[in-house]
Amino acid sequence: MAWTRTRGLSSRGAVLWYLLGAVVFQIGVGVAVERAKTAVRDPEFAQSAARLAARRAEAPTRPLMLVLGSSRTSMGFDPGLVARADGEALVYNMSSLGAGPVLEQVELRRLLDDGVRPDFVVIEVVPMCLASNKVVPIEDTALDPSRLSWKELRRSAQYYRYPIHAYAQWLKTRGLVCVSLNSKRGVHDVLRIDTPLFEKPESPDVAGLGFSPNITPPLEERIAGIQVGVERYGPRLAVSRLAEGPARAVRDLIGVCRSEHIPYAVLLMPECSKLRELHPPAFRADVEQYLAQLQAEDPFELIDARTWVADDGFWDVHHLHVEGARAFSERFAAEALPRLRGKYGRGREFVRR
Amino acid sequence: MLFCTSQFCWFFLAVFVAYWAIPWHQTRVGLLLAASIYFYASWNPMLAVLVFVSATLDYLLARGIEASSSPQRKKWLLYVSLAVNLGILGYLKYANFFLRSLETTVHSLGLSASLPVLKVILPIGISFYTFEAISYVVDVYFGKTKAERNLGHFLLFILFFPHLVAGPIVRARDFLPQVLVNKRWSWDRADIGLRLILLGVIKKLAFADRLGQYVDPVFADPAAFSSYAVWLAAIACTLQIYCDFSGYSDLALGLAHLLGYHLIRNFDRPFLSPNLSEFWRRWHISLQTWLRDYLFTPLGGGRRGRWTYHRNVLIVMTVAGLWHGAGWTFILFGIAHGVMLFIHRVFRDWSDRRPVVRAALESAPGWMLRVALTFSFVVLTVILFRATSVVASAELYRRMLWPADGAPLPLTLWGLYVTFLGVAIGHAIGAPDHSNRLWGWLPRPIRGLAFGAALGLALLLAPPQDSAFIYFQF
Repeated sequence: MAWTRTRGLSSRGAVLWYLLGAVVFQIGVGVAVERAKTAVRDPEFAQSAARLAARRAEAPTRPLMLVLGSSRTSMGFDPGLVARADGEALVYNMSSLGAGPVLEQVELRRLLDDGVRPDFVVIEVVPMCLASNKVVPIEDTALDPSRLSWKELRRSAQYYRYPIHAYAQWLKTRGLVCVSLNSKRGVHDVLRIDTPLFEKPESPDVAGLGFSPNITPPLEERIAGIQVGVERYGPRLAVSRLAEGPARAVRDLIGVCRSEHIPYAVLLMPECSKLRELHPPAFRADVEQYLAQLQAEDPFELIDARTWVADDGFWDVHHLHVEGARAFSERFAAEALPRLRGKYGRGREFVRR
Repeated sequence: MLFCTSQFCWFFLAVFVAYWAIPWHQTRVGLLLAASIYFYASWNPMLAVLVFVSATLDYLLARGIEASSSPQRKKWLLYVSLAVNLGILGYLKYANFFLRSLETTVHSLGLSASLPVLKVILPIGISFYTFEAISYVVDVYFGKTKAERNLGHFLLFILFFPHLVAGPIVRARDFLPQVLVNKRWSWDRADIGLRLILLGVIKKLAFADRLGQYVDPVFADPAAFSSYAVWLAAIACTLQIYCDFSGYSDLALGLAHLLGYHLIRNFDRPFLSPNLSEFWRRWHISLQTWLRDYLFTPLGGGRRGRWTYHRNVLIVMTVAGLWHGAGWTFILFGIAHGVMLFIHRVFRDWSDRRPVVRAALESAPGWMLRVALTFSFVVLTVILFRATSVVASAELYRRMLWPADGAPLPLTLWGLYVTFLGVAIGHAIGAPDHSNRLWGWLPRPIRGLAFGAALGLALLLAPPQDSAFIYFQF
């Protein structure tokens, strides 16, 4: 006998209960994800934090220099090289793909809430993330709200041009959590169903995360990458000015460091000349003025490395390949580290604010 | 548009709501036809035109066959239809394979030849709708079904989107009468349809896509993996193909039910088959019945003696293999099954004359042994089905039949074992009568929550990346 009506029951009632059951389950899982560990919502951060914990456990007395940034820093900042140059600090690269000041603030707060207090923080500021024209700022679309808890969302949405979009996206991913990519990855990771999907290849000197494949791209690939970057970021930067939301996010991120008495430095990662050319002069002036204002409020060390690496050190307009990362990190160790030591002392003998 | 994507969900929701909101029957048929064309065109608009044109040609030829009083003319129209359908299928699917094989043969004879590589796009589902069109025209020729007078109805038969790209292969005499009926909303059908859709989603997302993560690396580079890993991958591949294809079929049946149409079941728990003959009665039922009716029987079936019967079985299974893909591995797959069917038939005839042996085979342990052997054979031949080349399949067999060192499977094994267990449990309780009874015992709220939980878990446990249905490539 083929599929037939289930005996003695109203099919209409059954169908309505199916639909209700599906909705109830989705909402239930959404609530569970919201109340669960951060690892379920944000598996990429959880993996970074777990590695950081492992590194600290290996060297509990070493002062922690934490680097917060985007994919530029993830691929370009070699923490092992810098740590060897310093000789004392545990340098950890906590950068996240697509991160800007909003996500960096979220991550720093999470670490502080977990009792991880870095002794020094290097904050990457991406000038492009501060740009705004008709196109919304980058992080408004790059940051997946499903990674955030409700509390984190409420704090972060204030920086969006259209906060309602962030809330709507968050509700959608919580309401349809079973199809939300990030939540699925988080559940798989926590349940160890598959190999963690954010398993980043570790650099030979393991002191953080490195995302860059250990090869130098051929010229054609670099040219193609630059072309893609110009097409992608050109419209975003054209006639742009400083965006209020991201600028406030950077200020508040610095504010967290100050309120926690954590010394910090601001880093502008290297950029390909093609990308620098895309920045309108007025926007560049806005950024310079904004950074000067921040320094006037609190004299931090600004490491402007935008011109440190030649164009052949990049995969595209702003991601360094392994040779470019080495060049940048060596120069960071040679030029920036002494300045930071000179300003903030060695080890934990930091100037308190 | 894959079935298990948000894009398809929105598409179907729009079609479903519009369909049941429209009170006029012909408008509903038109809506389904338009939706089906849109569905196919979402892959490639030009290929949608090709399907449309070839289906229209079959419609005209069938009408011509029915209208003609001359047997000669009827036959010629039939031949034209067969030539066009098989010609398109042959060109788009098999031309490059034959050219490459010819080139290899010429080179092996010491001659030089450089044959062209045809730049063709293989239309999704071409093997399915071509067979449907052929069955229709042949049935009209033999008077088993009347030629459809309404072009829209006929096009809907070919293009009906739930079954268009991966079956089941529907017969015109089963489908066309349904098109004539003005559908009324039925909660019974909605219940059945939703349960079938749930089953399809579980099989496709939670089982098939998950199993693919274990299978793909091994078949991509068999020399890198150990014998145990290769065996596990072969079993996983067998279950993956079953779950993927039967999952698609369940989705197709469920979607059709929600639109008021009934399609035939395509699978009936094939891994419980105690012999290969039974297996092929439970696996891809619509293809096997098609081959029986339109190839095996015209060749003479079993009516012309034992050896003709075995020859016909071998031909049918070779065609079945070739139907799946243009490659020597598929041909060898078909031949292997044809040979084993011959061996099974010989063994059966031998055991039928020995009651003690017969009794032992039909006992519970005997049945379990036969099921295990049948499953093992299927697993071994899946290597040919899935391997990228004859050389790759040889490497896989070498690692399966002789112990070899290598890497383990790249993912945690507990997920694989749980999936195996899930498929086994599904087979055990999966008979529709049985599962209906079990389902009916549960209170409605529990059933609702179970439905929601099963759907949610299937979606949650699916790998994050979408993957196409395996049988779409056929």
